[in-house]
Amino acid sequence: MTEAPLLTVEGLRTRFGGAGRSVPAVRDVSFSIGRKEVLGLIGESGSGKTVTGLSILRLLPDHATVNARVLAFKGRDLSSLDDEAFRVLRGVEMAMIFQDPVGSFNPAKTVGWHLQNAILRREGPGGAASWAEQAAAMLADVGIRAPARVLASYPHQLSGGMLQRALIAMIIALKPSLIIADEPTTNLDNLVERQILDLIRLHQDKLGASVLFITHDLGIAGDICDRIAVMYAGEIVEIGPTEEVLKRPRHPYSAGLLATSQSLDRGDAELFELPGEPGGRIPEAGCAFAARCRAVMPKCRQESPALVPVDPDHQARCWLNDR
Amino acid sequence: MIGALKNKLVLFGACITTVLVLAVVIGPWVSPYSATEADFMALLAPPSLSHPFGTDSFGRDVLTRILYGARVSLVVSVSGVLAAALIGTAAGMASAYFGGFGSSVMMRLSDLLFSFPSFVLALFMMVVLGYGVANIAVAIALIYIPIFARLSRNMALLVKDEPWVQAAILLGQPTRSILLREILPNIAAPIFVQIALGIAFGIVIEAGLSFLGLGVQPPAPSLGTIMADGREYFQRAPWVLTLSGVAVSIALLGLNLLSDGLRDVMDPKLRARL
Amino acid sequence: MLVRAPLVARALPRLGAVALLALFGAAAVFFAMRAGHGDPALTVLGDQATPEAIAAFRERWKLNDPVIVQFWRWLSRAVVGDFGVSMTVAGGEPIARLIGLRLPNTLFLGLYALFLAITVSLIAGTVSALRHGRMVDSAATSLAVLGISMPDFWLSYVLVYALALGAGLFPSYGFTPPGESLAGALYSGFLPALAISAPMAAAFTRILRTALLETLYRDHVRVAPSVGYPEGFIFLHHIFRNALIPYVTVIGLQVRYLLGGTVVVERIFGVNGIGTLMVDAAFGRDYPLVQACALTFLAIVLLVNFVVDLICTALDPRQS
Repeated sequence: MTEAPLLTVEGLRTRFGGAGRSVPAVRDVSFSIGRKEVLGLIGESGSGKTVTGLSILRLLPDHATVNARVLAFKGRDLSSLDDEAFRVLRGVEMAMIFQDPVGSFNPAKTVGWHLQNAILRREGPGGAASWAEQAAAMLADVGIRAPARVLASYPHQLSGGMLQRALIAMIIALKPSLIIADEPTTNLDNLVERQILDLIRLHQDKLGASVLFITHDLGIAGDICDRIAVMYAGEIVEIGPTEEVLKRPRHPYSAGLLATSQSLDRGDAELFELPGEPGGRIPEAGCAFAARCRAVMPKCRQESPALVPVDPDHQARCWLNDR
Repeated sequence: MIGALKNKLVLFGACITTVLVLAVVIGPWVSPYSATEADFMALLAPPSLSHPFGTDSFGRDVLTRILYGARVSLVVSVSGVLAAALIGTAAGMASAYFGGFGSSVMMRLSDLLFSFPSFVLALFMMVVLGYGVANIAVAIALIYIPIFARLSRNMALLVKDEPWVQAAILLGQPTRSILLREILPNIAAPIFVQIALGIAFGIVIEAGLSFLGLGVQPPAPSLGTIMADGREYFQRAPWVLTLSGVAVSIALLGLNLLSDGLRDVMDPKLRARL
Repeated sequence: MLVRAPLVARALPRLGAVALLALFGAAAVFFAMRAGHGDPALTVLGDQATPEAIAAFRERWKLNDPVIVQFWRWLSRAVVGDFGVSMTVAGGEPIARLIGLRLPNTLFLGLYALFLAITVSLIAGTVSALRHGRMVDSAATSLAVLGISMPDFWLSYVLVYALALGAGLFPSYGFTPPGESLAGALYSGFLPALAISAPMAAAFTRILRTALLETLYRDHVRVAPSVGYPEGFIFLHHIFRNALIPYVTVIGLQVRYLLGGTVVVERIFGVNGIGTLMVDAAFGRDYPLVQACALTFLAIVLLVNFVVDLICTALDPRQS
């Protein structure tokens, strides 16, 4: 990675709650995304992956506190920006695709209204005259066959898949450099899922944008991502190029996820399962995964491992690599 | 923070209501004064230790009259609202459960009744039925039957499709049992809230009618007649009207806070939309 | 189906339903009056009336005909605007004229009160929703509960005491009809309108606050900032716009109470409106007049419901 990264995150920590009783959602996340790169953020629910995305975009409620050693976008320090300066960046530089397409639209307004405002946000008042054509073109671009009709429709009149396409069109209209996609296909059925993923990849390429792709599905991540970061209990436990992480995972959790995914694909009679459940209490000392790890050693319960390089451009947080 | 505040308000409301109910039930027994006998020695006396609310133009102790009057107002309002709750809920549940043409007709009639402004309907009923305490209760009942009918119908429609109701039907449970045991308990909460609100409003209606002279007839005390009296000599002795009004307001406040609290308690579970 | 039918097409069937409802209302009122207690002859002529006088009275007002015939006669005339003649008002004044004279006053008061209530609630509701949980919110909510708890006629006296007799700012009695002087009407009508509007303002504030708070937590409101829209834009189009629907619905529901409130308040402040007309007619057992007043109120409510209904369908794309 010789070029300067688009987004650099180091030591991101997010806590929820007020005085006294605060809960850590993100404990230590560091990664960087280069231009035109797709980084996957994999984890189960409760791992903190969604909160990571929301933290970067400052979309969390008031009672959340976000801290980071470094939070830089295109070389600019994000933490130093005030709310209004940050708002200017949202949408046109950094945008987010949310999990539930239906919930992302204002039920009282047409799809056309949403696209119009997205276009105006990008182009400024100058785009007022030609927005309809642009909007129709964008809808066609995401595979919607009757753009004029969809533009005039209200969200409740369209299916989830249709709305997700329209949402992608809206994001494209904004022409952001970074897209954070939070489980964009989880609510859709498999056939539509495939199509949406292809769409995202296609337009990411066309726009030259980078994507932070948040998901729990290792299979999808494998298809679409250049690099993968695996999250557990608020920390990144492994990060590296997709091929490497999927072929030779260097953390028991990643290995477990992989085995689960493969077992599912093969259609085993008895599916592989990671013991225990996610979202348990984080231990005071030691590795957070120790309680569920098959390869646990005494050291794991005493000291928390740090994220160390195991290969060029590949890091993992596990004492097993400490040989 | 407002959650805690609301809880205090609800407690406050419950306290007020209880105190008032007690006062109204016990007060008249305890009071040394009569509500109707005149005492020409103490006409229009301002509030004092012996007459905490002063006396009216006949020398009657205002506080005693208010307590007696509140009794009347409460009895009228409660009976009217309870009757409406019984009839309206039965009608609404039947309409939701059985459906059909009869149900539509019933709902249309209910809508028609609902289309008259409440006080106007009450006024009209006093002309039709004549003055008198019982008729006021009937008027209040007529005002509230459509409200309960609509409420219980909407709630029952929601509950009817729940799996446990469907299961009961399939198991051959008798209809009356289904209505009473499965459906009714699940729609009871918003109905109780509405009953509390209805009692409050019923008091206002009765007071308004009596105030105009079309409700309870003097010299019988009722909150409205006391206020009507008070109005006559408002300039000379403002305390009669003022204090009786305060009494009514406090009663209403208590009932409103109570129903607010009830509503908050069931808020996440059932949303009652009229 | 994707393109919504024009407003007119949706309005017509509703208008038909309203007309039907009005018809049944008229019938119900008519029959109830006839079936009710009390003999108009006795009330108008007095207890001492001779049997001959009573018979003549009944003959004159055709009270001996079958009820259905009476109703048909009344209806056929009412449709062309002839509501008959008052039994009690001297000289047998045509009811239509009586109502026509007073209706504008009641409507003026009602609209004035509505305007006050909406204005206050828009401000109070928005502020308490946005400052949710803080002092302003608790204060507003408490005031709102108080507002609903005071009988409006008592509130009238409080206002009179405080603002009229006390501070001398407003007249305590008498009303200048808007026909004579709009400024006079606004001035003399302020206290009565305020009295009527108080419980409504309270109710509107509560519903707006609740609706705004509920909308604040909806998904699309949390998504909107990610596009970088300014806060004002998000509030107007995403939050407020969606809170309008329950708000307007409640306004429609409250009109019934508003009209009920005018009856007593008109009397207290000496406003010559339908309310006082109906009360006087009720005392005098003037059946045709009571009937006509009741139906006038019914008509107003039906009309307002109709308009509110249309507004709600226009606001909510999910209704058709």
